[in-house]
Amino acid sequence: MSQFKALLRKEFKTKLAPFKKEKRDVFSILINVFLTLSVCAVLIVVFGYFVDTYVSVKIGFESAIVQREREILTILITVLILINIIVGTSKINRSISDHMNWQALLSLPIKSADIFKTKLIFVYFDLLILTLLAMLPLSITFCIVANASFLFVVTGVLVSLIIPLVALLFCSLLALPVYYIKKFLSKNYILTVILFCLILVAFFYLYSIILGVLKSLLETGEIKFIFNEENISLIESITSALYPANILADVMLLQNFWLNMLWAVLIGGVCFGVTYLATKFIFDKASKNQLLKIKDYSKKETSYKKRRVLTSLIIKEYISVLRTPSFSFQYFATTISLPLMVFVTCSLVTSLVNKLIFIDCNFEIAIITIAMFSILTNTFCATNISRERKYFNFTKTVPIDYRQIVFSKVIFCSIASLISILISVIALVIGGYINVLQGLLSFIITTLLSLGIICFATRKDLNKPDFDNQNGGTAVSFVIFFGLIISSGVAVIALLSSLYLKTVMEPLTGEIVGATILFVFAILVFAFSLFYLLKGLGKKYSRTVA
Amino acid sequence: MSNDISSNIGKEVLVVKDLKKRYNKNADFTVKGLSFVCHEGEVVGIVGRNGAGKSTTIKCITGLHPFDEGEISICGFDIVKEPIKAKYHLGYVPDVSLAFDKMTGIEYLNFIADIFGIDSDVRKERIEKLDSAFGLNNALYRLINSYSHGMKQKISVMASILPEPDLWILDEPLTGLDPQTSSVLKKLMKDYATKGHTVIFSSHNLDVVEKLCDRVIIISEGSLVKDMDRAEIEALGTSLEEYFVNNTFDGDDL
Repeated sequence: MSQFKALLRKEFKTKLAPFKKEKRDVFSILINVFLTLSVCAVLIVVFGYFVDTYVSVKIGFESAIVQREREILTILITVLILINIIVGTSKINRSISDHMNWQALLSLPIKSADIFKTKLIFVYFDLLILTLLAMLPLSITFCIVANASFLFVVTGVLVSLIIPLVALLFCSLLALPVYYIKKFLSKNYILTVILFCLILVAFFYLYSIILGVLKSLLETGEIKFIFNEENISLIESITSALYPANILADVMLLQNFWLNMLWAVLIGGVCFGVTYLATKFIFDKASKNQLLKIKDYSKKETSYKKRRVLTSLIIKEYISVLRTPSFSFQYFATTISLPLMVFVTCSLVTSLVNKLIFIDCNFEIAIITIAMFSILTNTFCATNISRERKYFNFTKTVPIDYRQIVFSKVIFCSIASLISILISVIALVIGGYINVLQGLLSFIITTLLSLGIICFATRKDLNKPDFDNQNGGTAVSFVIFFGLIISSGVAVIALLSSLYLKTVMEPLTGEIVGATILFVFAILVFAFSLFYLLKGLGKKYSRTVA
Repeated sequence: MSNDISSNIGKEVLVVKDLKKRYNKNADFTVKGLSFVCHEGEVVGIVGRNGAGKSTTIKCITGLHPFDEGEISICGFDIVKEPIKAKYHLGYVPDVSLAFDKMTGIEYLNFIADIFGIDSDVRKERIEKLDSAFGLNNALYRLINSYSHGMKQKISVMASILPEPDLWILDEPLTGLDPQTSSVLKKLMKDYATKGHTVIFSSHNLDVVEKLCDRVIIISEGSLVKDMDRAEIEALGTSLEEYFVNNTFDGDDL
């Protein structure tokens, strides 16, 4: 029992480590809180509006408020279960593949059952916190919009206790297959990248279809009639088959409360039982090192070609990113996804804006869209230093100028960024949204902004690298925040150009003046970021030790 | 032979002068005004208890850690003012492997060769020679993250000596090595010094230090306790281990 307690204490301390006084970063915490609250606020507003609209839907002259509420909640709970499954599977996977942790624990006289129980408990609590974070604001919103009693929030909390249990059942069954797939993919880098890209393209294809439908609904005004009899009965039949989400929805709505609650508890119990047995099997295997064996591959390819130092450093970056699935996804996904995101968003926004204000502002929209997406996808660069881990120290002991090391990272990130911006611009030109000259201007302006963000992100990471987690630590939130400010700046200038300058002067002159202001803004952002990167770089680099 | 070396001192390869280092402003100095000089052709052992400042001193010499006061020069180049030139003369085997684990062994060695600007033919010849000494063979084509501790140590040693630096520094190099590799490494260190290069290493294995070194630098609590050449080691009348224990071990520690 004392071992179990000690393990619980250890896991708890690990969870609290980021909040310890010496590691606490108030500004970063504030930014994170701000970003989380912003997402929550958007979610609450959209959800509230949706609930209000959906609940008041009438088929013929009849409204069925409880049935509509049941459908909304069933879908909401299903989504929460799906999110829990993804997060939970990833957490169990991380636990079983944490070689260092296992090696340390296995060398101690600790029962593997205790390790397993501790891991499972903490995965459950992680999922519970996640569920409550989503459930509480949404159920309060629902409560206000649908005039439900406060009991609804209480039942929401009760249901939140069951949701992670249901999700964990799937997590425990998926964890091992996912682990083996990940292990296989981690040795087949090119296949991994191709697979990631295919998944991404499929997602964006789906995204473009949804946006396309939305666009046509908005353009034709048919959106008002989307919840017609046919669609509602389809939703009704789908949600009535979504077990156990619909039972949990009934619990929240106090429909046959005791009976449904009994069902919910039974489902939770069964899920817990299966999860316990399945994860025990997985952790038993992990504790016997059966999952940790590394199958080596032999490949003879001897090349002794001499390269320039900078080229060699860029190749080193490429290798380390390519061979780390999470990094390769982030890096290559940027190149692939940016043009798709830009094209789909531009096609939707330009047609809507042109219909609303009757002014051609495709150029401004193109710049805003490319700038916003390219800036935000560059958050990957906030791991430029952290992802070196302890190997950062190596670079300090060999005869390489620190500027070469830093610029190799900036160049490496810029390659993906520039390619994706270029493809985005070409796609918009070919699609007829902007002309060649506008395309060239968009490319120059967004490239400057993107390079600026890369420089800023790299230095921000160097200022406080997180070599243990390699996830950029606090730098990521800073870069997102900085990116949002820059995007807002671009949006304000572009809107000024399209809505004001083009109406008070000749449209072409207005566009030229607007583009000039944007160009100057981009140069200023780039100059500031470059200055920020270079100021005291040598001193900072020499003082940083992994 | 050893006496010959000590009496026939070569040019200065490493000069450490009044080195002071502390890890933060409020802490005590870990290294307190350490000074010593190493010459070409010498094998120098740095010994001291845990926390004596050996690794910190080595990390300052290699440029890994900045230091507060003092000067360090390698082959006449100041490590702070001319770090690139100084590091061209330096090969370093850290106590914890720093070989990039996402690279294969051969990629890592080629990367090192690129950094030091070693031509294709020369690097091929050197890598083959080092591989035949350390026997990584096919493992060179595997990712370093699949290597055992000993294999990681081997690739670190191979990478550090590939550019044939004037100064070869090894921090606890024999830890985790099998007896065969340990023997190969000790011979390599000795041979390397015989060719006129300088070898500095830290170790807790005082028998090895006694047998291998032309000079021994004993550090305690960040200060130099004794800098002995071969003749002085032999004239001790006792083993180096006994001398070390008597001169650095505080009775209060018991």
